[in-house]
Amino acid sequence: MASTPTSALRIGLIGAGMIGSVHAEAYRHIPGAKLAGVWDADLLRAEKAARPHGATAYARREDLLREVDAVDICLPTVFHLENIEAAARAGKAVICEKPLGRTVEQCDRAIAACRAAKVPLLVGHVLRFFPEYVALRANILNGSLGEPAVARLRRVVCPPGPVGSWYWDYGVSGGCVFDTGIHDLDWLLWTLGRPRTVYGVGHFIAPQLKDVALLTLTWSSGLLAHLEVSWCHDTFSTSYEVSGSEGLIECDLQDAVALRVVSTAGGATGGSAVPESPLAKSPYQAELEHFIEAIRGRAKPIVTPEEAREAVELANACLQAVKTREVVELPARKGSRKPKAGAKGGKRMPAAHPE
Amino acid sequence: MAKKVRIAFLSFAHMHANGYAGELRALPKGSVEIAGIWDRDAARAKKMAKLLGTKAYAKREQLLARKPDGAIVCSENVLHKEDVLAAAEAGCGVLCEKPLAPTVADCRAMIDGCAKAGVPLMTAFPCRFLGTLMRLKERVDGGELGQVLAVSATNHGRQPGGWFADPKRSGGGAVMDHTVHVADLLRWLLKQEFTRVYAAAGFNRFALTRKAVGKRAVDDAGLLSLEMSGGTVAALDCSWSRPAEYPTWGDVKLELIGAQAVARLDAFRQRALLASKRTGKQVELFWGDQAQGGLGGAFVKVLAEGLAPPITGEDGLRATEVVEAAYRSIRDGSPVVLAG
Repeated sequence: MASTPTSALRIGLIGAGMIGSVHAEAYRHIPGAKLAGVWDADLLRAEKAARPHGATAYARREDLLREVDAVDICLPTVFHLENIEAAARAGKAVICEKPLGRTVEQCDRAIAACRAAKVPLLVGHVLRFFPEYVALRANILNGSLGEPAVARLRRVVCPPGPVGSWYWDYGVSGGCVFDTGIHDLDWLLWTLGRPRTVYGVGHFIAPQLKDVALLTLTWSSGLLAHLEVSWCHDTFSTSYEVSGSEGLIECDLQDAVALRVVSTAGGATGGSAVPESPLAKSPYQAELEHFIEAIRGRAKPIVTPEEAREAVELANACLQAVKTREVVELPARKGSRKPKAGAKGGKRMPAAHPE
Repeated sequence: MAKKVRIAFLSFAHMHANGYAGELRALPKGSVEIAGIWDRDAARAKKMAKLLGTKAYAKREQLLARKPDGAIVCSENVLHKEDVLAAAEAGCGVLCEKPLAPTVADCRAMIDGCAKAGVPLMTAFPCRFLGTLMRLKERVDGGELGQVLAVSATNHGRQPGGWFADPKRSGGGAVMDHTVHVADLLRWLLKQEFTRVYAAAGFNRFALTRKAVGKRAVDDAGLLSLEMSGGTVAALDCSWSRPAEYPTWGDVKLELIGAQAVARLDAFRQRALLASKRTGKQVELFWGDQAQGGLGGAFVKVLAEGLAPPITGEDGLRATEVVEAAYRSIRDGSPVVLAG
């Protein structure tokens, strides 16, 4: 298929919520793809998302599936599996928002369904497409930091939905650790490999819409990581700092306000500031462009389904640690040649010379 | 007019001694006098005495025989106990550099020794006197944060080298050196005690450590997870992770996540950046302030007015309790429960 608009990949958006709208907007800027249809349990919402893009809103999912080449699933996590299976049965390529599933078992079934149907499965771990995290990864891999020693990651947001929304059903969303923290957990797995233990402290207080966790991860190499995730903040923000034997790299989104326009029209009562960190191409667009190329067989997927599954496994281990207030040891990776690490809780000697 | 307070310095092994000496010299003329300096390193004693216009003593007992009102102990961590008890026995009030001692048992012995001698014992947690921290304390006390759910904190530093990198003299590495500041700040700000401690550490992770320690293994990376009696949870990064090329020595940062508000404090954020041939690299210049007279001034006030120390030996012990639990957790790989 040529990448001209006439032969554009027809995308069916499943789920027209917050991230669905972000994806819909991104497709507008991707020549190789066209948002063809939208399905949502709420038809009005589907129509609202479809209209600005000249796409069709569908009342029934199977009607959408007939009219598209690929689906983009932007639903609450627990509905991912059922929709992945439906798309796979229809022979459609699948783009699925992170997390792939709420459980590893759901991930396994999703992966099996796509494999059986021979359709690609691409999971939206969009952090891999954020330029500041791309730069971070590059400077770890190119040796600027020497051996990584301590990674600090922070991801704080305001409460993602009102009382009663699926986010606040802990079993469904997994709270901030699972739904928000999985971005950084995936990034850690991708860049620094599989940790050996996780531990965490936190609070989940649904009536007050407060959820926060502070996680510690350790690796056999002696590497440590700290991840702060919160749904208690007034605004979205992230930061990172990775120190290694030979150097340190850090970035705080709050310092990355490249453009600030402050209205003075309000006079003495003050105006409103609109801070910006402008990028020519949003990371969501970069991600979806890559996924389209992967579906066309012109790019090797940057995110594999197995990696998305591992992120779900790690996020669940973190949840378990916070819940039990005990160290959770990750089993050695399936097929890994490394033996399962030592005693409970991981007694270890000083790692003066990391492997 | 209150009588002049005479203060002896017992060792300049810890560089904070310079800061305390500076604070004393900045106090109103006639209110305080440095009675003399004793140091196990005789050359250092002589050098500092010359610098500060006082007398160097070859023996601790000679200086203590001069009957100073107070003693500031800035020796290597494992020697605090010996020096504090000697000063107490000589009838001196004591300001002891943090950590009060590397073990809870030593802290207890020092508290008991000072109580028996009837002299005040103050632990040096200078962060409490920083302007930024005092302002945060005001706002936390005012209640605007609501229930504090979680605190994410860092006390980063650069590998200090010397005796700090020798656990035989320091009692431990980064976890020993950089846990107690934040542990004390959290107790002070939140009026809660620690109930559960988990810690993970890395040893000889940084080039500066490898250069400083030779064949020894020293913890230079550390992450602590803490639970407190009022339900607050906290995480602390105490790593000596700042490379030589970094523009500043480290940081003290606290992010308090409350039910009503979030407070993000960078205690040394008030700074200017200098890039110069003279300094050779970018340097951050702190221009923030601290309480009048600082920690040294507060100690003088304790001695002059017979007040109870604003930071007690018990405060020092509580912070060391966290350190001891952290090392146990690092050894066992599981959390440690404290009495609270």
